[in-house]
Amino acid sequence: MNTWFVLYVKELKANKNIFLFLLVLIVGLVVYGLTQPVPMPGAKMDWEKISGIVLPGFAVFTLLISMPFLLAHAYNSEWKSETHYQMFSLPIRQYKVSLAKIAAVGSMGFVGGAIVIVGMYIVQMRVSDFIGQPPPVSASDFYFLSGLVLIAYLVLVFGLVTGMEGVKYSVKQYRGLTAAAFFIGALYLFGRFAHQATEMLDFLGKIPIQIQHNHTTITYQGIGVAPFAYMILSGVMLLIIGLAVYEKRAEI
Amino acid sequence: MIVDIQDLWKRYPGTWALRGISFGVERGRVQGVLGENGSGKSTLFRILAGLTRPSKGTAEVMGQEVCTATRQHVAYLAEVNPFYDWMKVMEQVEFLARFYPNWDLDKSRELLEFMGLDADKKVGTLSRGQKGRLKVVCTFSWPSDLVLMDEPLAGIDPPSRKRIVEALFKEFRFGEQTILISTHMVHEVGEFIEDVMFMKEGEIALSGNADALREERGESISEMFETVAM
Repeated sequence: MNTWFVLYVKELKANKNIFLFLLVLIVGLVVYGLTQPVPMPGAKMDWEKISGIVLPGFAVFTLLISMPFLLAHAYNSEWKSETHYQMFSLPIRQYKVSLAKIAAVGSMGFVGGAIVIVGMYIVQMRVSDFIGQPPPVSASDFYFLSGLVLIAYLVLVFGLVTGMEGVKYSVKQYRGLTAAAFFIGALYLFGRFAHQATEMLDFLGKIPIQIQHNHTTITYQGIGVAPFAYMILSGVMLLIIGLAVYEKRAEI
Repeated sequence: MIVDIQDLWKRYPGTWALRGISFGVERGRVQGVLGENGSGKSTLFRILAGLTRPSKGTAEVMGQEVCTATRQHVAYLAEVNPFYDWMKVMEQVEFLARFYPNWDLDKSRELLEFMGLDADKKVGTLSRGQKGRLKVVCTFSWPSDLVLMDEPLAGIDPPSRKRIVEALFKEFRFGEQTILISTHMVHEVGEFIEDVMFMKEGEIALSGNADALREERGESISEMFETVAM
């Protein structure tokens, strides 16, 4: 078996409890939300009436917010339990150890993401059925756009965390401070160049989406690829920095 | 020369753990590295195992600067418990086996039995002594060229210590493998050591052939430890 795959399976097993807990929570929120009655348009908003939308939405939030923490946990638990001694003494490049962690948490992100995306589409269908309108966005557009948002988010967040962990373990002192400085610096630069970069990437074009309104199909050309491409490119750059620093500088 | 250290320095925040040490170890020798806590022994072992980098100087294993490739030749027994508590004993052994092409799983099973370890037990439920024995199982389950044993007996109960020392004598391939062993329990492994190096405050205080030093100084290794390294 490929050594990287051995590490990947090890990461899945090491984090299985937390992954299972998160999956059960996400599935629970989505399923519970979908069993609630659909809110009637114009009705007074109370919890019982809106929980069918809020709970699946909360599942999305839970998934997105947990991803960076899960990846940081995968690194930190190794160092806290001193098993990093084992990892560093293995005859493998350390970037493989990092990639295995990213892939394991990423797998969890994709499975959880698939569940919440399907859940949110069902919410859209239920609301549309209730008001007697076709779903505003077709299934293919909905899944494509949601998938793109999820991938762009995961790549950016994993890049940020990998960069933070890489610099954190390559210094002997002020590790928390170093990681925080990297986080702030990376976010500042991300924001600072967002406008110029998305303008430069504008050649990638826009994603056409067909929107149904009052049984009429309108083709909307408004969603540009550039912001997603910028997020993915930034994430990949941060990922490379993190992996390189962890490989070259991290030490016990 | 299987280990070649030249002017090796290592700095940690606020202190120098190693201060320009130089020495070499020939293939097949058993070298004791003795010194008090903080004398630089563990840092030296971590550099040779590729876990940390020198601040200055060079560390070579089998003629190559320490790197990922040299780890293929080194069995490193860390002072800490490096095992995954959630794994079963055999699962941990099999996990490590996947990274070393010449790992012998039959040998691992034989050693687990010799060490009195239950292969189906979770690592997290093992006592400190049992974990120490597991380290020895993992160290001798494959024919490494260099064995680095950092305090293999520290904090370990006497029955486990006895088994570990027995395993050392039973499993070590004299003349083929090279072993660097650091310990406070000099009397437990004294007869095992061929060459000795006493370290103090990051420097080599005394080194040489153990028998020659005994004869020259009229002291046992334990007595030398007290006079030279403390």
